[in-house]
Amino acid sequence: MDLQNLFDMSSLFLQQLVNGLTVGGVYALIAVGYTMVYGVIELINFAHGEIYMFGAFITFHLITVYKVPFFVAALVAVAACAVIGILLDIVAYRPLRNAPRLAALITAIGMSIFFQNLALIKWGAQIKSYPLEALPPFFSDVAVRIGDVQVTWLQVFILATTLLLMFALHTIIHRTKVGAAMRAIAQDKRAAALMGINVNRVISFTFALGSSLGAVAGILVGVFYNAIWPTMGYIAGIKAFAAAVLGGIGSVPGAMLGGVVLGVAEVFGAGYLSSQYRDGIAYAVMILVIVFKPSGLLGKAMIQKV
Amino acid sequence: MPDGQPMLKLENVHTYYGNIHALKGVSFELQEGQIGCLIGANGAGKSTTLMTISGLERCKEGTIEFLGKPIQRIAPDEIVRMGICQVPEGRRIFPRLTVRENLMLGAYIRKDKDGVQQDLDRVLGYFPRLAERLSQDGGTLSGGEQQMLAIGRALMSRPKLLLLDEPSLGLAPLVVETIFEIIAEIAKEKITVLLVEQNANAALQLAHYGWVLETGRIVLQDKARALLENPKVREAYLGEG
Repeated sequence: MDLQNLFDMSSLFLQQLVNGLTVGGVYALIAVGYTMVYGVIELINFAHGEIYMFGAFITFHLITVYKVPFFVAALVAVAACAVIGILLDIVAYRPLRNAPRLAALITAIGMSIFFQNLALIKWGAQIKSYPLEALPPFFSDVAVRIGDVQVTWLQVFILATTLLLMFALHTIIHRTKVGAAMRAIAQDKRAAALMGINVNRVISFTFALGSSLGAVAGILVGVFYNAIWPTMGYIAGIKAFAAAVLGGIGSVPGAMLGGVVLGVAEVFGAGYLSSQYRDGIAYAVMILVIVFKPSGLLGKAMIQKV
Repeated sequence: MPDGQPMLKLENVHTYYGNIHALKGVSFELQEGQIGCLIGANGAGKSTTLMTISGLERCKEGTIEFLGKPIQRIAPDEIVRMGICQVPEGRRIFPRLTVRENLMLGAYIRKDKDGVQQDLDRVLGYFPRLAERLSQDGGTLSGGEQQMLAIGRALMSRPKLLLLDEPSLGLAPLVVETIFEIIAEIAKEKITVLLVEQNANAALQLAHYGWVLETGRIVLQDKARALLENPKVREAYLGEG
């Protein structure tokens, strides 16, 4: 093997790694939404992928219909998705809080289908893309170039946003009162209520937080692939859910790690095996985790003393 | 009858768990600054009474008044804000939060940082063992330490009325002694205490007033000293006869 060949191979590797981290960061953003909601109410919120889709579409709508600048549109969309998340909980899940878990799960699937169809009615089934002139022009410029490896400003932006949001999330969960309340509710709802915590309000906050991050992910992906469609949340949601399971459902650092691992695995699998395996890898990872380590990479076994 | 408005007054309280009629018209009054004690067998409705006062179970009938205000329809977190805090049965500390975080959650409703710090010092004064373990996870503590943490956590809300559900459950006799000493000291600080216990002997020696609960009804009430002497109580709850 000559030197040039080796160089090509390592630059391919590096390129894949950067792409994998970008995709993985986005999965992580969605996955924390699943895991946080699961943490506080033990529900897999299957409509979470649709919140991600709404993030992308509301931004699109604001840009194309109201000619709102990109960043303003994105912020409004994130706020709107936070509200949608809160309403989703109040309307669909709260009445079922003490019902069998299967009822809430089926409701979640129902809300997912409902949201998809709402988007189909409003925006149609065709793939849409953000008008290029509306996006910040620097997005497509190359930020770093090492040999054949290219990183665009958009990728830098995605990675930086993801890191910043993860850091902010960690701070909220571990350094604020409401974060402590979230963790308390995840461990013992009734005891939390006995401490004077308004449990429903904290659950609403959790939905708002998870939905905001999901919306950001939707917007980033929409810009990255420049394609959005009403069922885009389905596959992304499944993958992020797989990432959450991989990390250990209920564990926020686990969801972050799971997202990144899954993203990297997927891009490498697509690059070195075949791009047709791309979506299958998420499922393979999920199956392996469930078989060999059901609590996930960072999932914690319960400590209980009587 | 003692004068003045009672701190806590239950009147004809009925609570159901589904179809099970758990409380069948419970009435009693607890005076400010006193230790009241509910005794009774398993399933008599002692914990249900406390949960109904805290608002986590709802009574179908009857009224609960705290300092003259009806609270039976008020949300649990509001009830804590009004000054009623409960140490639930089984301690229910947060196992994966540190001891410090557990204690600070007790002060969740408060905004006075200086006061919270003072109370933290006071609680750690009561329970020096907790001071050594502030950054440990709650779940790593021994049973007795967890009970101390649960009581300390409740005190952090600076309650007017403290509800204690079976604080001696599953603890070694020496630890039980410590816990009861602390309860006596808490009561000296003008915190009214409503204690639920199966360990009737120790509880009645500590309390001013006692009620005997049987299958959802109060069948006997008297000064604690008198209950200790009562042959029926001695036979049924103090293991004599």
